[in-house]
Amino acid sequence: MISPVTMPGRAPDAAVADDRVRTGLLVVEGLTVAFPTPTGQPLVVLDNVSFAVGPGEAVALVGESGCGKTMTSRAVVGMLPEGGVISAGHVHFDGIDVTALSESQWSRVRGCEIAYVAQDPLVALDPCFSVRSLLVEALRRHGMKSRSAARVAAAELLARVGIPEPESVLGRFAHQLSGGMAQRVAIALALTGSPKLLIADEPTSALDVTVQAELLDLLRSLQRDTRMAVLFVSHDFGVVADFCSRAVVMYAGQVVEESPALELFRAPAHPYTERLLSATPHNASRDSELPTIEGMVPPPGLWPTGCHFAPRCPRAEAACTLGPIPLAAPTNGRSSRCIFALQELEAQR
Amino acid sequence: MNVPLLEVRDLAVEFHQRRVTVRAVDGVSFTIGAGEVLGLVGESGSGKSTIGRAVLGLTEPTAGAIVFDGNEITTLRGSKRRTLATDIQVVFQDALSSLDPRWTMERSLSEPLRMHRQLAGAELQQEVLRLLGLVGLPPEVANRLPRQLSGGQRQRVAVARAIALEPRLVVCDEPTSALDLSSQSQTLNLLRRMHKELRLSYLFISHDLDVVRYISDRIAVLYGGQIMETGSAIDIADNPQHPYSKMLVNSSPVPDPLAQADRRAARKLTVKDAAGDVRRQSNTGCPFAPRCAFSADVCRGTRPALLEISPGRTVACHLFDPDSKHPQSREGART
Repeated sequence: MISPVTMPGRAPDAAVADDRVRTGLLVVEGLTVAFPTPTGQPLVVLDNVSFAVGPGEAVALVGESGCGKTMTSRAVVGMLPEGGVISAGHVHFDGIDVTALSESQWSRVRGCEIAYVAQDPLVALDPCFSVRSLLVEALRRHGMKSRSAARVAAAELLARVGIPEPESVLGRFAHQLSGGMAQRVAIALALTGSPKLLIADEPTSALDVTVQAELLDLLRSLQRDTRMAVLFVSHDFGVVADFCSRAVVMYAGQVVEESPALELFRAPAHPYTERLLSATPHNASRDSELPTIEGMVPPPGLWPTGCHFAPRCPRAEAACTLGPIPLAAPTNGRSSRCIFALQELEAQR
Repeated sequence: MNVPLLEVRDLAVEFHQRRVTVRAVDGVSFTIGAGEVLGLVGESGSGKSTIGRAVLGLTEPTAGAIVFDGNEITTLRGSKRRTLATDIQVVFQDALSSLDPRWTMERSLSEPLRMHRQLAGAELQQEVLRLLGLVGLPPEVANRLPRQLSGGQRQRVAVARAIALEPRLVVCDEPTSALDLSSQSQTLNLLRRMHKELRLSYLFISHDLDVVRYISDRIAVLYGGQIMETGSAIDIADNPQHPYSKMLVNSSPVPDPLAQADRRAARKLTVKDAAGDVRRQSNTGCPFAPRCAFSADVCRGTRPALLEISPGRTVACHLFDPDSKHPQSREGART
């Protein structure tokens, strides 16, 4: 637990961070991230991103590549790529504005309170150390003083992530593990600090589907047992449907929709979500072409002034391109950055 | 009966790693008719890409025969093999590594046309532009380098290059696996259109059952270098019979939370509780036996034959019971 006394307090503009900060474990408010460019005009890659993750909740961050999912998850853990700065907005974790933390203060949050699992488990597993050394080192850093106790705990952790013979795996090195096994070890490593929030960035995307299904089962049972919240970054709607109760959809640096999973799949509240879902080949009729979205996601710097999706949207009208479209305040737990959907959600109110 | 366009008979491919011999493909047989799409689906290590490479002549088979249009091509090499390039083409997963990074798209597309169709000058240029148009790319793409294009655009160029010589068979090895959902559907539509308009046959290799179901006429499910099951695409995807096919289908997540919960429950019934060591102990027996929830002694000792269970449908499982369509029900089989 971070003591609020030793950490910077709430941001002065805590007025915006109302109920959501008090009830949410992770609250992202108006997060804007920019990179410097040679011309001096900063390149905005995340634009006013807001969403929240409650304690014990599994929330998906979903979208295609280039939409800002990974950038968002890295901003949340204070690990933006070189040069990236949070130019506006706040990230509150457990009531504390983590955007104001110094690097040394961060090191007491990252890896303990917030853990991160990447798509490639080898990012987390140093090739020079055995699985045992990695786990023991992490456990000791998180306060387990006795080396022998840490060794026992390491074996227990491996058993908890479903590795049948922990003793034999403890002695291995990263390159001696299969992809699924390595990801299990990476998850065990993430659990060493008993995190309240696990950020999982496409943790199963590189795995075979049968292995993916086993890992999703594992994450589900860990989440149930430890009550940790999970922010699950994914491009795969099937995985989102399997694991998450709520989804935040991103497009071209913005959140375009936030919905409970059931509603998202039944009646998406943004045309981008709707088009993307219909483009999945699952159960597609073999007699006709797949619905597609023409064109591609515009890169940062080339975003339209109005709705970012308007140039590709089948419903777009003149009103969509006039100016920035706001993300509507949640209605029945749903919000959308589409003027048509706003009217429809308003009608449901 | 017509001669199939491609016939693969008892194909085996072995790789030697130090003192160990790995049998990547082990006695695989299938045919592809003219204008037909056969999907090869399986996970990593199933041998699906190796089969594709053997058909392309990029990997030498250890045993078996590959017959194209009535002529055996198994061991063709050199100039004889190269003339086959006009008939058999390929689309790989990653066009960034299959296109020369220093060549413009025009040069990449011109090369096969110059070599095999002896085109030159204005005629050549026109044909390049025609091909780009055919795959839905604007003419200015001709002057671009691979890294200046998006993944979806590169894959279109790869398709254009594959169809440039008007082949009869295209091996598609995970052609959409590196793409985002919207580029994936565009590329699948393009491949489907080319198949219909040019009467192309595809050997379509993918790990994604939904993709294979959409594009293929028939599907062969591979595991450990062997075919577990074959049948029409819809039958395999919607009504799998082999325990491995069932596990594969039930492991593929569905974009619908309620349907996915059902699928997850169905998967639990076909999966062994403890993961354990799932490596094969020997080369006898069924490769899936160590992971199979229903495996019996016979599964570990003898390789099951691929038996026709209904017209066009074959299953390689000792425990398959044609009446109940369930592997568990054969008397005394369960151990």
